[in-house]
Amino acid sequence: MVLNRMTNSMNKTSIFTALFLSMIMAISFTGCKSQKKIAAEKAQQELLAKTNKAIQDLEAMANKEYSSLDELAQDEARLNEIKSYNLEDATANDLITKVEANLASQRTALEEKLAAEQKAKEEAAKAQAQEAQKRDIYYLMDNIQGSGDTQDSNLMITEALALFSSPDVPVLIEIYNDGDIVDYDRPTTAVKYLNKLKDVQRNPDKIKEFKTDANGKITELILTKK
Amino acid sequence: MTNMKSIKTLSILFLCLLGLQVFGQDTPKEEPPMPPARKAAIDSLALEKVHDLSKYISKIGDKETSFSEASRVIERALELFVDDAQIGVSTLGKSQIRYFAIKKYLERLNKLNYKSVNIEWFDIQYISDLEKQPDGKYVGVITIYQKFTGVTEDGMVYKDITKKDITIYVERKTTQIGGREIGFWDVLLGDIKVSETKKG
Repeated sequence: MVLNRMTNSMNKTSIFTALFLSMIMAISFTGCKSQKKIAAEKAQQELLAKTNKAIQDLEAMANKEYSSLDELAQDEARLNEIKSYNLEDATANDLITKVEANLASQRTALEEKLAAEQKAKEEAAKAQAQEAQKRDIYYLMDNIQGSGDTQDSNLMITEALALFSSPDVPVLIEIYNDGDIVDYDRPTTAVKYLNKLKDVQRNPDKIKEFKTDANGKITELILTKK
Repeated sequence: MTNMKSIKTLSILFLCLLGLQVFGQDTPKEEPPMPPARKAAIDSLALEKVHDLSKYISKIGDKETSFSEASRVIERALELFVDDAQIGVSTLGKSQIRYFAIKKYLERLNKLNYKSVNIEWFDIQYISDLEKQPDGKYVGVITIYQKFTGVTEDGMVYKDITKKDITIYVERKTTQIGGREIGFWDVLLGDIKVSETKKG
């Protein structure tokens, strides 16, 4: 009897313990499951936020016009970052294609614009330098013819010739130009022309244009009648 | 008989066509007249060459001009002339006009036996307009008056004024410069004839 009671009492305890353990396990399991769920939901929310932000940025870039290469480079970096997310979102992926095309065309246009601006700047600087050189030559030409002193004129001829790549640089004197027909005097050379100014003591010509080499020396001088 | 007739007809037709072609080739093509502004530019260029020569002659004759400078100017002056050009030289009181090759004349001018020499050209103008010749060249005559003043070592002054006629030849030529074709008018001076000499 006593043994039976003891056995009964033990069984009850075991059952109770087992039940208790089961309850704890169940609670723990449920807790673990909800933790994962929360984490997953959080990740999902983060991804959604990331996607939304990406879409927002892509939309801003899709038709944007850029005024500087720095600004363009920043957006190109942002696009690469978005691409690295490997988003599985049709809207985002469509926008990526669109933005890629826009950035590429904007880069081409901007590079062309900047190159044209640079070229224009260089040409303006060249024209300015040519204008200064033109004044120098004209000043010398005028002084050679007006000197009246052979020695002075010869010194100025030497000075003027330093502006030319060689004394034999061709000098063309345009006598007639109607747009279709251009007539010149018999071509001469720099040294002959400058000496002629000294000899005839008058300068009936003005500088129309000249060509220079890489060192800025004149390689061809075109004059026209005053 | 029919064949013979056809051959005869064809031959006549062929000869007619040939005749028409030859006639077509012989007919001179009407060249459009030169625009007055272009003609004026060429006239002016020729006058400028004569003005240049006057300055060269004055410099060559000037006793202040060094020998090397005069030699250089003589070379430049010669470039203005056709190869065999001659110049007439007269002296007051002598009816004879002597003709010299331009180079010889310029060299003599540089060595004239005077203490000082002054040569001036004035009233430079066309007496015969540039006219196109059958060979395509233009020929005209420019007249000038030359005032010569020479002072000898002993102070004697010789002065005369000579009227001279210069034949001008102008020809359109082309040359290559900087890889492009340039059309230019080559103005060359021909003989210089004395038409009148009087006291200065």
